Amino acid sequence: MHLWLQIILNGILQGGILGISALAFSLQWGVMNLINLAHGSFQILAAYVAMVLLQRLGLDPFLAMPLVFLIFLAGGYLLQFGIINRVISGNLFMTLLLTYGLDFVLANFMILLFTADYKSVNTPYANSSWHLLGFQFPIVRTLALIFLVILSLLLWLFLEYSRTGRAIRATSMGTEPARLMGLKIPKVYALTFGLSSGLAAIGGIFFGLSNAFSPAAGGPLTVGAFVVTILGGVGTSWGPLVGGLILGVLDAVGSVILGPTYVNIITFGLLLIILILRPTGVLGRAAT
Amino acid sequence: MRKSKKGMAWFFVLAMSLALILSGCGSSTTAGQTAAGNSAAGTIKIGAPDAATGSLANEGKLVHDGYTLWQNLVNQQGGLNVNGKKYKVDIVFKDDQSNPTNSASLTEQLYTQDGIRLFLSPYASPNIFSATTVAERHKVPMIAAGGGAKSIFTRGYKYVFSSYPYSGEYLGSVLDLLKTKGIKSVAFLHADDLFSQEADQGGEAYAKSHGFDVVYSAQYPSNTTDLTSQLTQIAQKKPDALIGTGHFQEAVLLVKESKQMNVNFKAIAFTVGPSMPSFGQTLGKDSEGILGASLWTPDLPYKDDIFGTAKNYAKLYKEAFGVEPDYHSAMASAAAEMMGMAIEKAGSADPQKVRDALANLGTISLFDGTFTVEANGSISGLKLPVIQVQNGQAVTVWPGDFSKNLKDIPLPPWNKR
Amino acid sequence: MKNRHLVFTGLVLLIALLLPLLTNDYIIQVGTEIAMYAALAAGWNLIGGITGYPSFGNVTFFGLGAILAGAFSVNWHWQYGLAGIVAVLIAGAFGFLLGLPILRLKGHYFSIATLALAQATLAVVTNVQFLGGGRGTSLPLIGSPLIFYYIMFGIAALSALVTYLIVHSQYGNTLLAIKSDEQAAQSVGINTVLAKSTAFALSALLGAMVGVVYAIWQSYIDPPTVFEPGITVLMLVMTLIGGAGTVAGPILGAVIIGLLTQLAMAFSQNASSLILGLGIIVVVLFLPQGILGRQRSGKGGKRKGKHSFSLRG
Repeated sequence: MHLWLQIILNGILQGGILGISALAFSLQWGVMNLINLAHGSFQILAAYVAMVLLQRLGLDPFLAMPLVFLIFLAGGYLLQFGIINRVISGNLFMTLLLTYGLDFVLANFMILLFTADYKSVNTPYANSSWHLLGFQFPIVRTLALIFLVILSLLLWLFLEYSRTGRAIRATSMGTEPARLMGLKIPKVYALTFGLSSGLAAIGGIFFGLSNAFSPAAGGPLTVGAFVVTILGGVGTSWGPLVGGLILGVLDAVGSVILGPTYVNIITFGLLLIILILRPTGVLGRAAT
Repeated sequence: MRKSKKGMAWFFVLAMSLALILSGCGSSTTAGQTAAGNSAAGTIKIGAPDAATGSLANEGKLVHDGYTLWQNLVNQQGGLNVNGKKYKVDIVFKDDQSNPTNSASLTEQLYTQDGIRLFLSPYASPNIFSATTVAERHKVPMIAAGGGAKSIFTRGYKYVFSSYPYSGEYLGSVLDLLKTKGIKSVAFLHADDLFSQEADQGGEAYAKSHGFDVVYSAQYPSNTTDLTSQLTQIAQKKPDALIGTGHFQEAVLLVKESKQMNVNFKAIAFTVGPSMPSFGQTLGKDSEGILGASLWTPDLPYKDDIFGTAKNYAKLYKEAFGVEPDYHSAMASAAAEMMGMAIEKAGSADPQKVRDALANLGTISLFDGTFTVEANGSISGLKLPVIQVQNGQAVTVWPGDFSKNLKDIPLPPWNKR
Repeated sequence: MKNRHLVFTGLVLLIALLLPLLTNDYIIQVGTEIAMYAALAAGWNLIGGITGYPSFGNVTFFGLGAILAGAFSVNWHWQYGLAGIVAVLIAGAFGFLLGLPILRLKGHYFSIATLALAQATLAVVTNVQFLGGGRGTSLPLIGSPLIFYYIMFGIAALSALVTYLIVHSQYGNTLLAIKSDEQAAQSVGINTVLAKSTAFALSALLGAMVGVVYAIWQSYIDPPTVFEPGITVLMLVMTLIGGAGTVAGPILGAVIIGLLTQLAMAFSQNASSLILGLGIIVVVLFLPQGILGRQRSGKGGKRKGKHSFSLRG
């Protein structure tokens, strides 16, 4: 019994890592209908930035988080404003292709900058855990889950109650009504991409704390974000949390019952089934 | 307007193809000349379709540096002695972007375009599989330095050689060492790729036949980011040792998560990971005491004419590239050295003669050890060392007398570190 | 206009057929790769360009063709030709049957379902020893580069022919109608499900055919390599550069990307991937409709203005 509780707990905590990584991805998709294939590489880049700040300035990743968030917010804003906005109103393939090209450039740029060697953000607490009621709570994973809950809540409050947030939500309903409301779509998009880049950076720091990474590690992160986003429901503030928890627990339990080698079949099989039966995800609006 | 646009597009394509074809013809004629007149130029060219980018960029770089070190030393020493005349060597690298299809097409390109007839392999078994097919088709030798999958050598190819032992042999020394430390039960975890599967199966078979109790064995998908639940499960079986066969990031993950889950082992060993300097850097003190199956260490008592002792090899490598070499680089240098020996022995850079010389090398001693080139191109007899991470460095703790360097087995529990 | 087409087609055919006489094995290798991608892109074009469903998982069929043909010939000792034919048929049926539920999805959801399909298929292959498991399958070394060039070229030509026939048929009009307004097509009594699934199955057949030949050409099948999502992306890039929905577009795209890749690799050793990525970005920003795309959308009259294949939603 204790074994299974710990395994479910492992799944829940892994869900935090998965969910926090998908937060940005879900927001971009929900608001701009943009699938950002460079998402994983953004996160890896953030992990490198956190690593450099730790090694050069001795800045703890959690203290560095606001700084990294702002750097990525600014970078994301400029990227969207300068490049992505030029094609986002065109057809679907173009944005997919553009972000694919970006991913290629980012990954290879990181090889030039940081070499292809594996790195990690190594703090004394990165490998430690809290021992509570006979269960193990790895510090980084537990914090990831807590951060995810807080960020989801903040995001929800922001989108629901702030002026800018409402503008973003209005835009997500469709560009035409938003334009009629007098909103400057390119600015809203740039802001959304900036915000989500910042969120992606936070996810990246958590990934860097919990795993070793190299410039090529972005791809699996993007695919993971795909799955979590679909499971939870596109464009809902709580979707990544729900999707992350579902996937985390299913993978943990499935990997013990069937063996870890079947995890990918569970993950992608589940994704296919969800897509076919309920394409809007668990929390999503009913299909139209 | 539209017509002209389309016309222009096709014109552009035609022009480009023509340019490529002409350049192809151009170089193929020069290629023909160099192939025949390799000697006239005073240089012997060797091709290497090795990864500089993509998922294998890290290992690709190690292999690249291993090849390069050999090339630089040979050239410093005046070159290869072919029938009393000295020839410089020139290794031509092309980036296969870690993609096996590219490994094949670049081998083809090096063969046809650059007129190269002798080859060193890319890293990783899938890429070696692809590249060696092209070499076999053209009947030119390729020495593999980056994959010991048995199936590479059971295809009946005549032009494929290797500096690596079979993957299935990697774990033998580790298990011998564990035996002397009274380890009885072992848990195995391995990734699903070719190399990891073969290494694991070889290891598990060896363990069972040597009286170990294999209490857990599972395969996980490559690039997994969470193995906590497997560790939770393993903890229930209380094995003495954990043996992980996978990739670098998975070895790091297993150490991190063993500590997080407070799963303690008397010994932890990996096939890939501990021998690389970044393992200690990435994990800090949590990497202390972890064992690594290795193919080569600077402490081994072997030597040859080009690199001197194993220790001297490490010194030269560090001077050239600024970091300590790990076995990937050393095995790559050994592969290049085998090529050099074969050329000298053949007295020619003719691919058929070099191939025959390689096949007849028999038992040779290089800075990485003494081994025998088998009929199918693989090697046997290499005594594999084991390393242990101590103060962030890889220290040789096996075979033989090196075991006196062994520390902290059984490992202290995570909370006592 | 018609004459021009014929002249161009003839010219391209002539060059392709004579290429081996003029050149060396490297050019033949490059030619084989270009023909391979031209066929794959043309297959993608059927579902992605003409029907307007942006598949992100067409590599599934390429991989399935390679894996199944390899498994049948190695494990059951079938002749490779027979193994290949059965593999292609199974892949086609697989495409048709999976198309039925998946093609109900639109836009991004369809893209992701197909991506998941490719990943799930890879995961299954990795766990089934008969299919090669994680180790892959080794095939005997047969044939010569020239033979594979002509076979790949033949498949590419076949793909172009199939596309041509479809575009100029009633069925092609049905697919175009689905692309421009699926509900309208449905309301005039078109069986859209059948039409879409057939297009997906044709796309699967072509992809699997290429996979079967690729496997024996390379003589080793590494599962992660033959299910690599990047292969789908290349099909997409090539089709878009050449012009989605056109007959010649995918082929033109394959030739351009194929040549550019080789040139990039020749000029720069380490930065070829970087150059490719920048190249894609530049194409998206400055050539969003593809080389042949805009021209056709103006003339057919079946599509609506500039948003001819806008699939947002």
